[in-house]
Amino acid sequence: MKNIMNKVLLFLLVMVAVGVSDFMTESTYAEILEVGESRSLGTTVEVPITIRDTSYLTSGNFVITGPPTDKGVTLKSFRPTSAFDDQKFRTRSIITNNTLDLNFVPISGKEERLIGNKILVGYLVYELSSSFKAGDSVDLSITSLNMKGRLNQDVIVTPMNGKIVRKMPVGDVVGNNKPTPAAAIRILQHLNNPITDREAFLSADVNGDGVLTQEDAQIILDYIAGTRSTFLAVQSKEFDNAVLKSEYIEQVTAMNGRAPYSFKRLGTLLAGLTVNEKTGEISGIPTRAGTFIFDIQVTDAVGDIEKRKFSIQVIDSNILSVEKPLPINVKLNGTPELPTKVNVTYKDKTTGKEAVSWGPIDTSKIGTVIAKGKIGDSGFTVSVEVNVVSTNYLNDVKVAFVQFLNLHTIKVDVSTDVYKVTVNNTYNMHFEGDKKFSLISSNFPANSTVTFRMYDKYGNLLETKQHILKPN
Amino acid sequence: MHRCVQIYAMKKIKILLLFSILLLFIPTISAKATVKKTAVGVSTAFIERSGSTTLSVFISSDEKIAGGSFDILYNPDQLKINATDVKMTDTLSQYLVAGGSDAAGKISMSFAKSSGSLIDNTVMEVKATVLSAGYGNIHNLTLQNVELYDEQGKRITTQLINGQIKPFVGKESTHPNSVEVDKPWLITLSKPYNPATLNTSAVSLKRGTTDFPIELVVANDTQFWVKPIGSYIRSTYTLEITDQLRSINGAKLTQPVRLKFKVN
Repeated sequence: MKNIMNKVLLFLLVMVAVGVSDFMTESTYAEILEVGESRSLGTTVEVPITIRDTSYLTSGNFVITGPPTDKGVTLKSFRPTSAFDDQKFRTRSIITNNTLDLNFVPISGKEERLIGNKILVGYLVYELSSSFKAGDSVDLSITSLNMKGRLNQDVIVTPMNGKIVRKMPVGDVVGNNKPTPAAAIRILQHLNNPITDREAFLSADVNGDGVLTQEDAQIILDYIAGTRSTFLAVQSKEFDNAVLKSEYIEQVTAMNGRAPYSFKRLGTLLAGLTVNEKTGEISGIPTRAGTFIFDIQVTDAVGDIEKRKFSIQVIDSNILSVEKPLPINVKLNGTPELPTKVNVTYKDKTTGKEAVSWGPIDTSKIGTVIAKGKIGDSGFTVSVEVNVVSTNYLNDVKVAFVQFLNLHTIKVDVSTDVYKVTVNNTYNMHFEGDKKFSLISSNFPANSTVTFRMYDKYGNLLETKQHILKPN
Repeated sequence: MHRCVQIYAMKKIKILLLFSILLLFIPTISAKATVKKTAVGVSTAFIERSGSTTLSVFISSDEKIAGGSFDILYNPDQLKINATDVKMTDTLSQYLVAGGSDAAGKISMSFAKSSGSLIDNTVMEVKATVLSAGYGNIHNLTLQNVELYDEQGKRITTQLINGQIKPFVGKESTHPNSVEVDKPWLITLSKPYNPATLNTSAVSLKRGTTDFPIELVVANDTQFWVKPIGSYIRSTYTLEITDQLRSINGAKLTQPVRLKFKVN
C-alpha cells in the first residue's frame, strides 16, 4: 500500500513539474504578433507584419484595424511574403473599411518549424493622401488574434500594435521612401555637399551622434543587406560632471527602435549611481572621485539590442551644480556665441556666476558638436550643444510692452523652414503668414528672459534661442 | 608541308564553323529591346546530382557606379549556403560593403562610396551545396531588389542574369588534336553579343575540375578571344560557355557548349 502511495505521489510530482515547466515556457517566451511602425513621405507605405518568438506555427487568424479613411490613410492590399504565398502557408485576406482580416493554414497540412523563431507574414500596403500631413501619425490596432502552434495547440500571442508616421523613414535621406544605397552615397558626400534639410539629416544620422560619418553609411548598408534588422541606437551624450557626495541626474535616450525600451548598465558604474531600467535615468550620489567609463545597453520591445559607451567624471568641488546652457545654433563655419559666464550653485546652496573658458569648436560640418568649457580652476566643466546649420531660423524679434497691463506683444520673423514657434516650451505662437508668428501675453515679467523654440513641419526642433523681453 | 598547313587550316575552319553553328541565339526577345550594358549576374554551375560548387556574382557596367544592392533568393530546402560560404572579393575594396547569407534562402549585398567607378568583375563568391540529390534537378538563384546608383543617386538600368545549379545539358565536343601551350580560341557567334555578359562566369576554362585563368578579349561584336593567362601544362581542358552569355537584345544561347582539348 505504501509502495502504491509513493508511486502515486511521484506521479503527481512529475505532473506538477511538467505543468510548471510548461507554464514557465509560455510566460518566458510569449509569442508576439508585431505590426510594424512605418514612416513615409510618399503616396504609399508598407507596414510589415511579423510573428516573433515562436518555433512552430500551424494556423492563425488576425484582424488589423486602421484609422477611418478620412485621415488620408487607406489600406489598399496585403502583400504576403513567399512563405505565406506559396511556400509554407496558404493565406486568405479580406480588406473592408481599412481593416485586414487574415487567415492562414499550412500547405503541408501540419505544423511548420520557423527558422530563427520568427517569420515575416507580409506587408499591409496603404495609400497615403495629401490630407495625411507631415508629422501626422495613425495607429494600426490588432483587434482579434488567434494562433495555433505545435500539435495544433492554441498559443498565447501578445499583440503589438503598429503605426504609420508622416516622416522620412530612418535611413532614407534622399527621398526613396526606404533605406537604399543612394542614402549611403549621399552621406559619404556630405562633407563636400552638406545635407541641410533637418528631416533628411535626422534620417541620415542613424547612430544618433549628431554628426554624419562613414559609420552612418555603414549602418544603412548593413540594414539593406540584412546583417542588421533594426536602426535601434542609443543617443550619444556628453554627461555633465558629477560632484562627490552630491545628488546627480542624467538621462540616456534610445531611438529608432520599438518602444518601450529597457536600459541596462554593462561594466562598472561608479559607486552611488544606478540606472533606471525603464527610463534610462542615471541618478544617485557618487561616493568616489574619478572618471568612470561604462556601457549602457538598450533592449527594445522586440528584443533588438544596442549599446553605447559613456563616461562620467566625478570631482570634489565647491560648486554643486552648473546651470546647463541651452543648445545654440551657429551657421556653417561661423563662431558660436557661447556664454562667458554661467550660473552655478555652490555646496553651501548659495548661487553665483562663474566665468567659463571654452575650448575650440569645429563648425566646418553640418551637425551637432559639443562645446566644452572650464569653470575657473574649480575642475568643473560645462558643455553645450552647438548645432551647426546652414541657415538662421530666427531672423528678427519685435517686442512691445504695455506696462499697466503687463502685456507683451511678441512678433518673430523666421525662415521658411519654421512651422511652429513656442515660448518657454509652453505657449504656441500664432502663425500670421509670410514667415511671421506672434504672441500677446501677460504671463512674462518685464525684461524677463524667454526661450523661443522653432520646429519644422515634421516637429523636429530646429533652434532654441533665448531672448530678453525688452521693447524695441 | 604545304598539304599539312592546308589540313591544319581546314580543321581550324571546321572548329570555327562548329562554334558558329552551336552558338546560334534564340530570338526570344524583341530585337527592338533596349540594350542594357550594365549587368548583374550569378554564374551557372553544372552539377549532375549532389555536391558543392562555387558560384560567382558579377557586376559589369559601362556607367560609373557609386553604390548598389541586391538579393539572391534560393530554396533553402534544396541548397545550403551558410554565412561562411559567402566571400566578398576585392573588386569593391574602395567601397563600404555589407552582406552575407542568412542561411534561410537569401544572400544580400550592399555597397557605396562617394563617387562612381566602373565595375567589371566578380564581387562575391558563393559556395553552394546541393541538398536534394536527384538527376535533372534545377536549383535557381534568382536576383531580386537589384538597385545600382550613380553618384547623383540616380538608378542605373540593369540587366539581370539569374544563376542556376543544374546538370549539363548542351553540346559537348572534343578537339581532335593536341593544341599549342598558348593557344587562343576565337569564338564566333551568329549574332552580336552583349559585352556586359562576356565574363568568366559565362565563359570559363577548366583543367580537370580546377578553373584555369583566362583572359576574354572582345574581337568585334560577334567574336571574342579566349586566351590563357600563362601557358597550358600537359593535361585535358574544358572550355565552357554557358547560356549566360547574352545577345545584344538579351537572348540566350540555344544551349551551353563544352569543348574538350588536350595539351601534350
